[in-house]
Amino acid sequence: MTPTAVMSEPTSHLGRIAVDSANRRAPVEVADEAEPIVRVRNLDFWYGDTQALFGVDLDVPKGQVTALIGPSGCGKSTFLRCLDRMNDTIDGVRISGTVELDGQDVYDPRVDVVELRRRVGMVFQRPNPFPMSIYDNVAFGPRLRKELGRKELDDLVEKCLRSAALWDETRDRLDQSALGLSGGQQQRLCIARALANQPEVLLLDEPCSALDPNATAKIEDLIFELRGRYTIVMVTHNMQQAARVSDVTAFFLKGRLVEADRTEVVFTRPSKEETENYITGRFG
Amino acid sequence: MARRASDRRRNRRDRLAAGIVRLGGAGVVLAVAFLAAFLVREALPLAARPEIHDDRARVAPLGGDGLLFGVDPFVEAGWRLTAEGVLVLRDLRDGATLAEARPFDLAAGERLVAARLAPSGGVVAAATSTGRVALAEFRVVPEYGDDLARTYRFSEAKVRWLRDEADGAPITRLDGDVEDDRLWLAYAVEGEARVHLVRGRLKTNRLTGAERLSVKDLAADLPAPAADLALLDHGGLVVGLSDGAVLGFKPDRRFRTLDAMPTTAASGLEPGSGGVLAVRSLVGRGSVLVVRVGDVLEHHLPRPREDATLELYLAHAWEAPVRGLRDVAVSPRQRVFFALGEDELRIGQSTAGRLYGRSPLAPGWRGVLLAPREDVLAVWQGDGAVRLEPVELHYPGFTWETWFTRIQYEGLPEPAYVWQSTGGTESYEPKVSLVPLVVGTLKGALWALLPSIPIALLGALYCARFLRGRAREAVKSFVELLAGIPSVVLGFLGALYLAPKMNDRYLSVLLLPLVLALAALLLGALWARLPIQWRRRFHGGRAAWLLLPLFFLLADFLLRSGPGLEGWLLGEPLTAWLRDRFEVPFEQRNALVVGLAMGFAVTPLVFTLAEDAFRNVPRDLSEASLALGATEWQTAVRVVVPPALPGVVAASMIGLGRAVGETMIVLMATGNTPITSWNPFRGFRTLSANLAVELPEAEKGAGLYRTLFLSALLLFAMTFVVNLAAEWVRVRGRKKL
Ligand SMILES: Nc1ncnc2c1ncn2[C@@H]1O[C@H](COP(=O)(O)OP(=O)(O)O)[C@@H](O)[C@H]1O
Ligand SMILES: [Mg+2]
Repeated sequence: MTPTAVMSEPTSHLGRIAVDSANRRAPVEVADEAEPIVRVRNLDFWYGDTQALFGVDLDVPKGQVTALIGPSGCGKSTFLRCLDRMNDTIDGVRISGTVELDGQDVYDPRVDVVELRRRVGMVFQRPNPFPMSIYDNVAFGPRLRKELGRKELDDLVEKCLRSAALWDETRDRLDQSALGLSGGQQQRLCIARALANQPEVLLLDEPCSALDPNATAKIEDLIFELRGRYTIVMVTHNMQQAARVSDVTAFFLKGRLVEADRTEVVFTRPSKEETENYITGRFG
Repeated sequence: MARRASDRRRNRRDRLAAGIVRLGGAGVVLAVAFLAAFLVREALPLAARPEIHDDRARVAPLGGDGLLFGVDPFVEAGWRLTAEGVLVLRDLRDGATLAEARPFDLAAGERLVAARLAPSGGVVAAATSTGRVALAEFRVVPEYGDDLARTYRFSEAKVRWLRDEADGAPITRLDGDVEDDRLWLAYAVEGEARVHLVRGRLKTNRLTGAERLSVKDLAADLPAPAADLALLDHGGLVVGLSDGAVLGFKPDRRFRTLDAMPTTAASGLEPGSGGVLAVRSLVGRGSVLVVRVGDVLEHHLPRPREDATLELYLAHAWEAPVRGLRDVAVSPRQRVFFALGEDELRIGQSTAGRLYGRSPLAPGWRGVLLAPREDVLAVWQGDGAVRLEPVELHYPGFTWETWFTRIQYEGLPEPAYVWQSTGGTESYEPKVSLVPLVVGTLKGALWALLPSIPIALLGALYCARFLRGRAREAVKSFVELLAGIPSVVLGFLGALYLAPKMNDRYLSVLLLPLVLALAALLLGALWARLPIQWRRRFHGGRAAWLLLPLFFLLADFLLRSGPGLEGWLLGEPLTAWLRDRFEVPFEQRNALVVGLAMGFAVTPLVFTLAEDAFRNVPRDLSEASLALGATEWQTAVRVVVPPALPGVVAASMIGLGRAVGETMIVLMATGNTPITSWNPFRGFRTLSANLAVELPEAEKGAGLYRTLFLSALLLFAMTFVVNLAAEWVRVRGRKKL
C-alpha cells in the first residue's frame, strides 16, 4: 500500500489510513520508550451482572497522547472512567484488577478519591460548563481546595484559558455566563477548567463528537498544544482524529483490548485482523 | 395508499389526544374560575349600600295627636299613644280604626306628659301629669277572621308603676326597659339638677301566679338639669345636659349608690360643646347616640377599665350629618340608626362609624321609626299621616373597617380585632374581624413550616445526592406513604396524643432538633477519624442506618427525661415557668402541636417535590464537579443546589399553600380560639377551620354567611397567589437553566 495521507476523505473510502509523520503538526520529540504513568493490569469491570471490561492490560505513556478507538459500546468510556474512579458514582458496579497511577494503586482503600480526581482530570463528551460565569467555571477546582489567593487565582484562570486557546475570546466577558458560549468554546472551557486543577493526566471522552468541524479542529490543535505537558488519554470514534493527534492507539472490541501500539503501527501494520477490519471500515 | 391511511389515522389520533389534554386543561381553569366566580357572587352583596326607596313610599292615616307611634311587623297596622293614655290601633291599609285600649288606668284629670319607646320596641315608659311613671309592655297581634283576612288587635298590656307617688313632679325626660325579671327606669324631674334610676324586681308566686314588684329609686346630682337621658344595659345610664356635658352613671353592685363614670374619647376626638338635644340608646343598650346643638352627632359607649369599673368612651363623632339635626331613630335589630334633620335623614352604622346616603324627610315630622323587620321606614308626619318608605339596609354592619381594622365594640376595653360571630342574645352584634383568622392561618402555617421545611429540604438533598439504589427507593416510598396519611388522622394524633404528651416536655421538644443536629455533627466528626477501610463498608448512605437507631435512642431519652429536665432546670414545667416569669399564656392545644402534626402532612409533600428538583439537576453537572475533585457535599452545595433552587422554593411554597389551606388538622388539634396572637403556646383559628365550624350554622344570605364567603375568597386568593408564585419561580428557574 502506498503511504499517502488523505486526511480529508471519509474512512470508508480508504483502503488503509496511512500516517505520514511529515504531515503531523508540530511534531514533538517523545522518547520511544516513554515510561508509563498509568499502568492497567487485568482489569475486569461489571455493571451489575453484565461485564463491560475483560482483562484489560494497558500502559499509558507519560506526556503522550493515547487514543482509545473501537465501535460504540465496546467499553472505551467505561475504561476511561475507571482511571479516575468516576465509575464509583454509579450504583452496583464492581471492578477487579489494578490501575496504577505513578506506581500507586488507584483502587487502594486508602487512596483519597478527591485527590486522585484532581490529578486525573476529565472532559466529557457533551460540553458541561456549570451555569456560572466563565471565571467561576475555571476557578471551580482551585476554589474547592481554597489554596489560592485572589491574585494567584486570577493568574491561574488566565493561564488555563490561554492554554485552552480561549483567552482571546473570553478575556472581556469573564464574568458572563458560560452558557452564552458556543459549543466548541464550551468544550474548550471544560478543558481549561480541568487544566486549572493542574492535573497529571487528562482524560477526554469523545470531546469533539458534539462539535462542528471548525470547533473540532480547534480542539485538536489544543490537544496538540497540550501534548508533552500533559499525559492525555482520549476516546474517539473518529479514526482520522486518532491518527492525527495520538502517539499510541488502543483498539477496544466488546470489552477487550485487542491491540495497543504506536499509532503509526496500528494504522499501518495492525497485528490483529479485527483491528485491520475496523480501521479499514469493514465494521463499526 | 395504505401508508397514507394509517398516517391519517395517526394524525387523527394525535389531534384527538391533544384535544383531550387541552380540554382537561381548560376544564381545570374553568373549574377554578367557576369557584372564584361563585365565591365572588356570594360575597359581593356585602358591597351594597343601604337604600331608601322614597319613590315607592305610600301614605296611610294614623291620626294627628299623640306622644308615640309604632307599627306591627307586617306594617299593616299602626298605633299611637295619646296624652289621655289611649292606645289607638288603625289599619294602615284602609285607615279603619281597629282597637282602642287604656292600659294605664289613669286617675281623673291625670294625663300622660312624656313617653318613650325602648329601642327593641314593645316597651313604653310613660310619665303622668301627677308624677307617676309606668312601664307598659304590649304587642300588636294579628287575628284571622272567617274570610282569613288579617286584622289586628292589642295584646293584653302589662303595666307596672315604678314611681307611684302622685306628687306632681313634672317628669319629661325618661327611658325605661325590661331585662328578664328586672325593670329599669331612668328619669329626671323638670328643672331639677338630678337624675334618678329606678330598679324594679318582679317576684312571681309560683302557686298563685301573683306578681310582686319591689322598687328601689337611686338618685345622683348633676351640675345642671338634664336635657335628655337614655338607659344602658344593667342599669347604666347616660345623661346629656344643656350645657353640653354628657355623663355616664352606673349603680354599684348592691344598688346603694349611683356612681358617675369617667369619660374618655378615641384619639383625635373630643366631645362637642353644643348643648345636648337628645340621647338615644342603640338596640341592646350597649351604647348611645347623642345629638347636640350645632348639628353634631356622637356615639358614646361604656367600656370596662382594668379595675372593672366603666368609663364612658366617645367612639365616633360626625359634624353636620344632616341639615338641622334634631333627633335619631334606631333600628330594633342592629346598630343602625337614622340621623333625623329638619328635612332630610341619613342612615348610619355605629360600629363601623359609617354614614350612608341621604333621603328627604317631610318637614314638620313628629316621629320616625324603622319597622320591626327593618324593611320599612315609617315617618309620622305633622298632618297625622304615616309615610311608609321601603328600605333595603343590606349589610351596613359589614364593612372593610369591621373586617380589617380594630373596632371598638360595645363592652370591650379597647378597639380590637375580634371574631365572635354569635352571642347569647338576639341583639348581639356579630364581630367579624378577619384579622385573627388571617393571623391564625399564617401562624399555623409558620409553625408547620418552621420544622418541616428544613427537614424536608435537607432530607431531599440527602436522598437525592447521598443515598444510593435500594436505600433511596426505600426512603422515598416511606415518605410517600407518610404523605398518604389522611389529615383527620393527623389531627386526631395531634389533639389526643401530641397535645397531652408535649404538655410537660416542651423544653425537650424544642431542644430536640438542636440536640439531634449537634449529635449528627459530632458523629460526623468522629466518623471522619475512623480508618477508611471501616468507612468504605458503609458507603453510599449506609452509614445512615447506623445513625438512625442512635438518633431514636437519643430522642427517646430526651423526651422521656423531659419533665425531669424542666423540673431540674426551671423548678417547674417550662409552660408554667413562662407563665410565671413572663406572663406568657399557655394552652394545651397550641400552634406547636399543630405545627408538629401538620409537619407530617407538609414534610412529605415538600420532600417529594424538592427531591425531584434536586434530581432534575443534570447529571452532567454533578459529574463535572466530581471529576474536578469536589466531594459529594461540595458538589451538592455548589453545583446541585443553585440550579435546583427555583424548584426548591416552589416546593416550599406549595408546602406553604398546603399549610395555609389545611383544615382538618387545625380544626382538631387547636382550640379554634380566634385570637390575634403569634404566641406559639396558644391556639388559633384558621380561615379554613373557621369555614368548617361556622358555615353549616350560618343563616343563608345573612351578613355572617356572606362574610364567610368573603373569608373563603381570601383563603382562595392566598393559596392561589402562593401557588401561582411557586409556579412562576419554577418556570423562570427552568428557563434560566
Ligand atoms: N451506567 C451503565 N450501566 C449499565 N451498563 C452500562 C452503563 N454504562 C455503559 N454500560 C454498558 O457498558 C458497555 C460499555 O459502554 P461504554 O463504556 O459507554 O462504551 P463506549 O464508550 O465504548 O461506547 C455498553 O454495553 C453499555 O451498554
Ligand atoms: Mg462512550
